[in-house]
Amino acid sequence: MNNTLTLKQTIDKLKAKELTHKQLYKDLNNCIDTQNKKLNIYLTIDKNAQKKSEELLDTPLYGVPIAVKDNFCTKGLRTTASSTVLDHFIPQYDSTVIKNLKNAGGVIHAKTNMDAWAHGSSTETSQYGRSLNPRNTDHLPGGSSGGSAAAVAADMCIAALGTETAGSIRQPSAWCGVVGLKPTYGRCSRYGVVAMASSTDSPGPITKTVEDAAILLNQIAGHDKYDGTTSTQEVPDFTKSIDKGVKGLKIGYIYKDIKGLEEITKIFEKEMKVFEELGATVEVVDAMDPKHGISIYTIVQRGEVSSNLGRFDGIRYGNDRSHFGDEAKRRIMLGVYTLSKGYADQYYNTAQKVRTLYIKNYQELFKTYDVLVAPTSPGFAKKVGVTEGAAMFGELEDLLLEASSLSGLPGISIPCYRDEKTNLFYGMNIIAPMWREDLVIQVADAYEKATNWNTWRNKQKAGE
Amino acid sequence: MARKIVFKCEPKARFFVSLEKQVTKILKVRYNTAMSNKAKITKQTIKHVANLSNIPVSEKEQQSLRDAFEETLNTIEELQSVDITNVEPTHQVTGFKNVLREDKVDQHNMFTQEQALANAPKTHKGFFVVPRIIEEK
Amino acid sequence: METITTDKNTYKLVCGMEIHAELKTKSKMFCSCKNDPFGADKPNIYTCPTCLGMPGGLPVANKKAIEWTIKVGLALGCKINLFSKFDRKNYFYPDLPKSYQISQYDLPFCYEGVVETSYGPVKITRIHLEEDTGKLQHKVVDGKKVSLIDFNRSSVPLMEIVSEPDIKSPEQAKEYAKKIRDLLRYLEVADCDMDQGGMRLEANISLAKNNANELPNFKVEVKNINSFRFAEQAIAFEMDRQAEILDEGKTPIQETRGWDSNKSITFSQRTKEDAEDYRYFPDPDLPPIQFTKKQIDEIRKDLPELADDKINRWEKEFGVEKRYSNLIFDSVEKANILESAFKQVKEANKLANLLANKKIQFVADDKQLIAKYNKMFAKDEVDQSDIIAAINTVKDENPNAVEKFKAGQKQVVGFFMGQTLRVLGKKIDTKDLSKLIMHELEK
Repeated sequence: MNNTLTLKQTIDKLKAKELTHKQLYKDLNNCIDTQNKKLNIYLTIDKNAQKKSEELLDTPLYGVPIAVKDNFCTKGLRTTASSTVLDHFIPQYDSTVIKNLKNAGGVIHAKTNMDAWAHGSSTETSQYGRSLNPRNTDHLPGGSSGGSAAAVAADMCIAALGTETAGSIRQPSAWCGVVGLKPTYGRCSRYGVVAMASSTDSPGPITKTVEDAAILLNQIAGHDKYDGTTSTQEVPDFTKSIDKGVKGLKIGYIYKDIKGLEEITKIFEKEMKVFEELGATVEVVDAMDPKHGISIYTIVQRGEVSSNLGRFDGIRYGNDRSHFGDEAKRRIMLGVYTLSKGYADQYYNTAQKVRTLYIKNYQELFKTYDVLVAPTSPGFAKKVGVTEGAAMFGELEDLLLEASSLSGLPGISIPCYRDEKTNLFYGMNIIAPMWREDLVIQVADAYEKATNWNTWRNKQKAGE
Repeated sequence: MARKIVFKCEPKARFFVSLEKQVTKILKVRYNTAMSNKAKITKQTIKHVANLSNIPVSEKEQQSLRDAFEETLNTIEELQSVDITNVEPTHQVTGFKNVLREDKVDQHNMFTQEQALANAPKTHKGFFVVPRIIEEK
Repeated sequence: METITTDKNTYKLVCGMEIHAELKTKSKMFCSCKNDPFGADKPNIYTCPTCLGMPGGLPVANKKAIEWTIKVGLALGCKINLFSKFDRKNYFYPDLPKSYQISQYDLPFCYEGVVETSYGPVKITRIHLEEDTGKLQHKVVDGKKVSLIDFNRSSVPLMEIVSEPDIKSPEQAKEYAKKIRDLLRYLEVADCDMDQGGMRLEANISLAKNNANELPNFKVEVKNINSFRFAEQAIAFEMDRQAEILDEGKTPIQETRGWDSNKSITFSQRTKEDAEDYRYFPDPDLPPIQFTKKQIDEIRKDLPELADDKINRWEKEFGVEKRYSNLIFDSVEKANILESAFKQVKEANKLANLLANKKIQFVADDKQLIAKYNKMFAKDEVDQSDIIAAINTVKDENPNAVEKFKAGQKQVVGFFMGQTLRVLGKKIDTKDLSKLIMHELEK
């Protein structure tokens, strides 16, 4: 089934003319037709995608269809951020990342479900209904890029894009057993992406393999004159970090003794030994307690989002503010509260100062270690319905990710364990200093190839 | 966080008394803030914040919002225990400065009037339309 | 100092002004849309995702607007914040597409300057840069009362100059505002056309007892003043209104009032009991600005000679009187052309006089200017016989004057000179004219 190919395989086969778009789309659409109703992953599908793909054969991405989280503005294609406020919003412009993708020959064939406005870690706050985890449909796919991660896991796409503010790429990738890469803040442009927390939002690839993530990142990264927070650095060729191995690298295993992680740590410790077998040094090391990340993120994110969502007033586009869902209302209002007179010092400014402490702590650790590793999520994907009434659900689930997101660091989550009974996954989170995506790719790729947790990697092994 | 109160005045009795009242009020608010959040999240608070947020909130929603507020505030109170003496806030992780634009018009990024209005619920002769604003800005 | 004396008390004016000026950069403040809201022939034709507040729109600051703000600050003797940033000012209004205005809160580009007026100095608290809003128009469409919004003006650079409450009279307010306008035009950073909204005035007005040392505990903000004359009138009106209230032992309500130019009154618009909570925070989309002292010194060096200095120098160097200079230039460019012309003519003050009295129209070329000047004093070639004929015409028209001359009143020659020139209708060298007239009169 051609829809189960990885991005690299698809491009290679199209190049070698072993595969046509007609065949690819046939299998893809079949899968979408059978699965989408139940899994509720795609909110909008571009019926003209195949035609567009067929005209892009002589490009780096060969017209490969990519699924994109519904907070990326796509010209002419409905964009909702999973909120009914934008129910019939059709952007007249592309986000820069989408433009880059298109320039490289990529085709956006579908927009994926997400937590409304990216507020959450479950996709249950979507105003178009929750998505289900394809690995086990009694469970959630995580969020906020849950739709994209699920689309990859279900082979409903070849590759996907998501965004991360504090875990929103890596956490759903862990829950769905796929690869999710959060680039350095400033590596990919935020122009045209519905803003959540402006100081941490990072677009990034969600894919079947680490190499796929590298291929996609090459095409979407880069300086953007319309986004003043993007780096002018040349984008390195991230695929050069594939097959490099980890010999000689020093890896710091952090968050080992966090309360509540006992279950996952039993398994995780074992997986860390893989790196030693591959020639790296692994050391358990203390990092600053990540729990403050929850508070900082809560305050900073809600403050920034309360301001960012002000523009949705139903005058120039969209529906009016009564259409906001409960979670959005809560977050906006709390953000307004923590920024308001008399409280800004107590909350917002304090949070930004503790943020500095995390940044400095990571900088210290990176003097000794090349990368830092920990579980992505405290446990398996949670059951459907678990988020109802839990105001701080997302933040608690992202406990292990918030600090690195707030610091702007690049990170990747890769599958590192699968429970045979439930078919649910654990993810491994690898982070590196700012601008060192090459290191996270290098380390993740080595682990992926040395283990059997990646389901496509398995298929590759089986010769499919 | 102590805030310096600077005042210059002649020590006229009435003014002094009112200033003392103001100082006491400020200290009281700080004390209450530190001690308890529950006391602060009143119905009034929710209404006021909803107003500032420009979000319509029903009576029913007000209660669930109060609960959500309290839960969240209780969680983030723990930040007060972190020592942030002499720490600068980070608003920008990139460390970039002086990202500026030359003063040139970029036609390519501009909308046509049609594009600008394409998603508007109500337009009239090229304008966006809203019900009459009663209050002047 | 302006005081107002009622039956009961004498009060003095305590007034500060806020002036907003649209900068005439080519592009907008935070995006590259065309900056020409008044010249646009249709609404909403100069917009983009950023200034229209679309999802994902992001700001990037206009370098020129910042440089110009520093320039103005230096010209007004301000200190410059070497580290500065932009902050979001959050509030909801239909003409504000993002529901926040990017402005500056606690680190404005410039602070602590001064404007000298003939009534004394007016200190400047701060000068900062922000973006303008869209424009609202109130109409009735399909029988319904609506407001129409045009975003061509959204995100145009707006410089805000805030003064200390040093203004002591309506006249001083007018002079202060005029000086600001003249400077901005002179530096060619803004047109300040008040009827186009290119410059907007707001006054914060209170009255204090004449012998009071402390500031009043209230202030009334008056907005929508769109001319200097109205500013004077509005302040004067407020002084009367507030004096009446204070006489009753009450305190004027702290509020915003508008100026009604038809009725010549201020009227209440909004009470300011709870000051607006704008929830300022640094805009995470805009990296901060860091100048070096060297950069500021460079800008300072590049400052043109300021108007007052130039006028004084012209007086010394060219003998051009101040009262003419004040009227004949409003920009550095114009001044340079004039100076070049002054250097090349024999009587620079005469040229200045002609321009000031609008006898000559300014033209942006010194050679052409000089040509015009020469033409004014060009002597026509006239036949002596024509002159004599003219003199005789005058003699015929004025027999009494002739008699007076013959009676010894030589001063009528002056009269004859004027009349002869009138009759002749041409410009001639008058050096020998009086001799010729006397000659004819003696006949």
